[in-house]
Order: sequence, then structure tokens, then C-alpha cells
Amino acid sequence: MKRGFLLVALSVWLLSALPALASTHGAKITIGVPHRVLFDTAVPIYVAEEKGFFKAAGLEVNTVFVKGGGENVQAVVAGDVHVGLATGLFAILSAFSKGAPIQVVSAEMTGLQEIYWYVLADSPYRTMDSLAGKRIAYSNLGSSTHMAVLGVIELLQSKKLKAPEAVALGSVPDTFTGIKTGQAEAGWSAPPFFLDRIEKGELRIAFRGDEIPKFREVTIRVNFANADFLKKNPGAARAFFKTYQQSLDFMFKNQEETVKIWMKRADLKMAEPTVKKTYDFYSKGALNLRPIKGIQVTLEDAAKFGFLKKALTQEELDRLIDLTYLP
Amino acid sequence: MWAREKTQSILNRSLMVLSCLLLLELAVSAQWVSPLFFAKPSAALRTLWSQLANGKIAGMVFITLYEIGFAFLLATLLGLLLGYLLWRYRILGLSYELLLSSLFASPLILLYPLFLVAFGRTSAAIIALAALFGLIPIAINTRSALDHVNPVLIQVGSSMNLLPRQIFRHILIPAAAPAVFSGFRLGLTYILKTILGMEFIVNVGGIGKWISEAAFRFETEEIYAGLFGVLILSVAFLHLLDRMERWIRR
Amino acid sequence: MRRSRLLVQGSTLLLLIILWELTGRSGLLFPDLFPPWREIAWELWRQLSTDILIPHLKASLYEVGGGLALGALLAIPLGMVLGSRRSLTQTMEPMILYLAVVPKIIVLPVFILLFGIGAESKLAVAAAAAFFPIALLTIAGMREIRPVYLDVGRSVGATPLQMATSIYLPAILGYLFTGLRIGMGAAVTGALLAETKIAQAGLGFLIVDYYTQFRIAEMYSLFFLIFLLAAAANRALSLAFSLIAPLPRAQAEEGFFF
Repeated sequence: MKRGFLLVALSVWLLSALPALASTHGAKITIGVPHRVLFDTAVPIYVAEEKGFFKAAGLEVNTVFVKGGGENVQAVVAGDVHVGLATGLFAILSAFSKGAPIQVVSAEMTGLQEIYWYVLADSPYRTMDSLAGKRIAYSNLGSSTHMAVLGVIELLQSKKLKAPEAVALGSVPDTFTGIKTGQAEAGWSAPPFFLDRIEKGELRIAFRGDEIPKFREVTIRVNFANADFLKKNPGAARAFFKTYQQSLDFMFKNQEETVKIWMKRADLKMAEPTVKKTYDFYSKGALNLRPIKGIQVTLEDAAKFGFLKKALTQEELDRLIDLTYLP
Repeated sequence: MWAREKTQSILNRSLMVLSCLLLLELAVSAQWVSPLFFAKPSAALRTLWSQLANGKIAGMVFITLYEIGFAFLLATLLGLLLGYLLWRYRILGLSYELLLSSLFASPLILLYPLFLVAFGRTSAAIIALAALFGLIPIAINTRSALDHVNPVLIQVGSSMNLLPRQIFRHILIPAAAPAVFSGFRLGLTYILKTILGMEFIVNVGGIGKWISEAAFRFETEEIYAGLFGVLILSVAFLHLLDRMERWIRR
Repeated sequence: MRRSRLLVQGSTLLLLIILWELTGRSGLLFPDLFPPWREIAWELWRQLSTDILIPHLKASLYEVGGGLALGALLAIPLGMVLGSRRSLTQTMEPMILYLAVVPKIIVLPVFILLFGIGAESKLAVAAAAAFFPIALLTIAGMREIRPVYLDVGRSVGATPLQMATSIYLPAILGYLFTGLRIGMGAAVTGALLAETKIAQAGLGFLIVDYYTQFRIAEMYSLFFLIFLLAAAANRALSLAFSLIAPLPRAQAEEGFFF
């Protein structure tokens, strides 16, 4: 009688422990995604979710969509988000230099090949050079598009052409409104936006990001994380980046299926072949998670634009960049 | 006795503010609070001073003041006209008074995206928005001011055989002026708030834009310098209005 | 007289609708700004009939309600203390007025650093916004108290706490309530405006979401809802408060606080 009772008690205790076991197995991580639609930003997450990569790795991923890199940095600094994706280095450097608990954990995009500047079809501009002395749009202060346009200005000046004017017009739709209302001659965009309008002949690509030599071998965007989270949950961070790499591999091996997932999750209203043209703008190498290239160029530019008071020392850089969570 | 009381309260106030700032200075220096969230008042002031020295602030302040001035001009012209019409044609005034007062009490500033669509992300959008909202209190107060002019004064004018134009210029305007000025005061303060707030949100213009960008760059010291600058602006502003009001009432 | 007022209001509305449709169709002036009324009405219906608004409404209500409560919690005691002595009022009230002129949205960066990008930072802005009208009106109410009430309290030997709860509080109720009502308006403006800058949910967040996707008709329908809700809440508070205490004359500066 007593032994039976003990057995029941033991099994009840064991059974109650099981849910606890299950929950520690499902590590939780909150990621900040600065755009719902852009290929390199959002699609890896969509693919990982749809193909069950997160679940297979035992990860419970809470996706928070924020409005751009700046917001992402604020969210990670505050601890609301654990890992921030696809964010430009300037705001990260700035926060880090003020003592914010953040670390760069991987590269996200190296080079500017995916960004292109378009003009209205009925305008006379056909190349970067033709935009000398005209207004070229970027999104906002310190963004990769800002750096790109400044690079264009440098480039044209070195060719003894009249320097174009850099105009901040905001996001892709805001910029489009700005171009239509004549606030600038060339607007920026990234796939899949306006691929259909370009096909239809409404817009024309004037130049692409990889025409600016300065940034071809510079890591433009990185993935970063809250340092306290990394210390407490290194396993979750590693698991996340393992699945992230898995997603990237899948995206380039299975282009058709990736496009389908992308169109479904981002609610794209374009024809599939048009969306597939995105692959013309991305090479797999550009999305390599390591190494972080061209950090000196980035540091110089950051100091030039007031994001850093002085360049970081090597010791500080080593503290900032930690690639050990990558597979 | 009155003057001494006033000086005493100014002294007390300054003492209070100073001790609060010193406490904050201490707190940040001793790392009781994170320098990421709070800036040392001395550092913020130093930033403010250096920005003043290198002329950057002058440019920003100029843009903000220009936007305020332009918006105020528009608001005054339209507000006076509207207020006059609402008073002249009683039926209009009565029909719209509920609408106007409830408009003024509602969060009109939230309509700013419409102005962005119309004017793009430019100062023009901010000016248009501020002017539109600033004219409401001016119109309301103008109408009320004209309404409350003692009818006896007008009768005196007619009995002296003055033309309507003369009555308007020499009797109505001086009699209504103080109340109309209250409308100006309210409208101008409202415009100041709207413009600063909009500059911050839309990232365009002068001081508000400065604070927004400083936040983006995690420049805590600049944020506080900007906030301090805004405070100085509003203090100067209120003092100016006070002076003008006293002059008008003479 | 009343009928002619309604006539004017009615015909203005009609004229507005007609001008709107004409401007929108002709595309002469800001063509994107004037979607057909039918489209706006349809979007209004769609948003009300589905539950897409619910999470945003919840977020905004949490921020406004919490902000108002926090602002009142800080402002009422402070207002009562500052209003109790002339010297205190003279010293401190100008400072409150100077700060009232600053749009509280500008302090959002500090709140984001402290509280993150969630609803709490917006609640803080709403609280900061609501604080000022409540404090100023509480002070005004305190200064209006007839001295005879204070004498009665003191003569029966009331403690400061008893004075506060049994003498001061009932006397300033009218002003207090008006302060709360205006404070609510300030909280709404503050919270929703902050949501347009950085947020994950809320009515203000939704406005900007529609704007960036250029869904103008939906934006208009949302504006309509927000203004209707704000006006209704304002009116409801007015009515509720006036049942408990007589309210001072309507303040002209109502929309001024944010």
C-alpha cells in the first residue's frame, strides 16, 4: 500500500517535470526585422519559418518588425529585441561607443549590389554620369543609401563633373512620392520594389550600387545582438544562426520555392517571373555571414558623419565584433 | 513689497533648478544612472555652447523661427478674416462655433500625414499644418472679441456720424484689441508647439530635427542639449509675449 | 434660429462633400488627397466589421489610460501642495508653464532609451503630457478656494491630511475634473503622436502604417474614428463630471496641451 502510494507520487512528480523539460528545450529568442519585404532582410526568416527550420532546431522565434535600422538599434539596446537583423553599422557603432550592451555577431550584406537608383522613364538620365548636378535621393541620415550617394558625389567629382545633391526622402514609397513630385531626379530602391514598373517601362534604372567601387568590398549591414542576452543564452544565439545559414543556403538552391514563400508572406502583388528577377541583383557571396569586410572604411565614414567621436581602438573592435556564434 | 516678493520667487526658482541640475550632474558622474540615458548637464551645456559657437545652432534656430513666423503670419491673416466673417454674419458664427471649439480640443496634429502627402517631407508641410491649426484660436478669439465690444461704444460712434469704416478703425479695433491679442498669444504658442513637435516627428527643419537626429545617433548629450535649447526658446518666447501683452494693454 | 443653424451646417456639409468629390475626380489640387467618399465609407465599414483594429485599440487605450492615471497621480498631489501657499505657487507655477509650452513628444527619445520600444515609452509621453493641464488646473482650483473653508478646517484642528481630503479636495473638484478631462485629450495626442514615431501597435502606429503604404482612404476612415472616439470620450467625461461637481467655465486653451 505504502509502496504503491510512493510510486504514484513519484510518477506524478516525474510527469509534472516533463513540461518543464519541454520548455527549456524550446529556447526563446526575439528578433528584430527592419523590413517586411526586402529580400535579404525578411526572406531568410520567412523561409526558416515556412520550412520549419526554427522548430527543428528547437527555437521559439518571436519576430518583431521595426521601421528601419535605427529603431532596431534602439530596440536591441533596450533589450526588447535580442538579435537585430540587417542593420547598418553606423547607428550600432554610435550606440556601442556610448557603452550600449550590443555586439556585432555576423555580416549581413557586403557591397551595395542590390540597391539601384531609378529615374522616371520620360526623363533624360541614363547613367550615373548624366546625373551630375542633379538631385539623388537616399533614405535617411547615415543609412547605406546615404553613404552610397555620398560615394557617387565623390566619384563624379573625381571625374571633374558637377557634384549632384543628396536629398533625404525616406523609405522606398516615400522616395517614390518624392520623385513623382519633383523633389529629386533619381530615387533609390531595392528588389522587389518597382521591378514591375521597370519592366513596364514606367521607370528606368539609372545606376546600381555596385557601380560605386568604394563599397564593393565593404560590409554594409550586419546582424547584431544584445550582449547580455548572448552571455545568458549562447545556445539560442548559435542555434539561430545555424538555422539562418540554413535558410540562406536554401534561398539560393531553391529559387522557385523561395520566391513562392516570399510572395505569400510579404503579400507581393507582382508576377512570379518579375519577382524572380531579384536574383539578378544578389550573389550568394554578398550574403556571407563572415567576414566583416572593410571595417576601416566604415569607421572613417562613421567619424566623418558624427556617429563616432573618434575611431574605435582594436581592443574596442574586438569587443564589438564577436563571430563565435556562427556555424 | 510686491517687487521684493517677485524677486524672492525668482531666486527660489533658480536655486531649485540649480540644485536639481547639480544632483543630475552628480548622478551621472558617479554612474548612479547610465550615461546612455541621462547626460551630464555640464556636458549638455558644453555641447549647446559649442554648437552655438560653430554656427550650427544659428542655422537651426533660424529655420525653426522662420517656420514659426511664416505659419503665424498665415494663421493671423486667415484667422482674423475668419473671425471677422463669423462675427459679421451671425448665423455663420453660431453654426460653426461648436465645430471650431471641438476642432481645437481634438488631436489635430495627428493629421500631419495628409500634409506630407500634399507637400512632401518639407518645411512647407509643417508650416501649412501649423498655420491651419493656429488660425482656429485666432478666429475664435477674434469673433468673441468683436462680439464683446460694448455696443454703447458703437452707438456713440454712430451718433457722431462716423462712417462704418471709421467706426471699425477707431472704435472696434482698439476695443477688441486686448481679446484679439489673447487669440494671437494662444495661436502663436500653439504654432510653436506644433512646429517643434512636427520637426521632431518628420525629421525636417531646425531644432526638432536636431533632436530627432541626435536620438538616432545615440548622442545623449546632444539630445539633452537640444531639449535645453527648446526650453530656452519657450522661456524667451513666453517672456516676449508677456512684454507685448503689457504693451498692448497700455 | 436653431433651424437656420442646422440649415447652414447641413448645407456646408453637402457643399464640402460635393467639392471633395469634384477635386478628387478632376485631379486639379493634390489629387491623392481626395479619395471618393464611398471608398472612405467602405474602408470604415471594413475596419469596424473585422477585428483588425482590436490590438491597436487595446495598445492605445493602455497607453492613454495608464498615462492619464500616472500623470494624475503625480500632478494632483503636487498641484495641491503648490496651490496651498501663495509663495509656493509664485515660485513654481511659472516653471510649470515654461515646461508646458514644450511639446512632450520631444522627450520621447529619453523614454525609449529608458523603457524600450513597447507601449511603456508611449505611456510615459502620455503621462508627461497629461501632467501639465492637471497640475495647472489643480493649482488654479486651490487658489480659488474661499478662505472661510480653510478657517473652518483649521479651527476644528484638522491635520494636514484631513485638510487635504475633507476640505481641499471637495472644494477643487470642479477644477480637478476639468484638468482630468483636458489631461485625457493631452494623453491621447501625446500617446498617438508618439506611436507615429516608434511603436509596434496602436492607432497612431496604424495611421503611419497606412501612410507608408499609401492607403489614403483607410487613413481617412481611421482619422474619422479617432476623432469621433476622442470627442465622445471628452463629452462623456464632461457629462459624468458635471453630475458630481459644478465645472468652471470652458477653458479656451483645451487643445493646447500635448
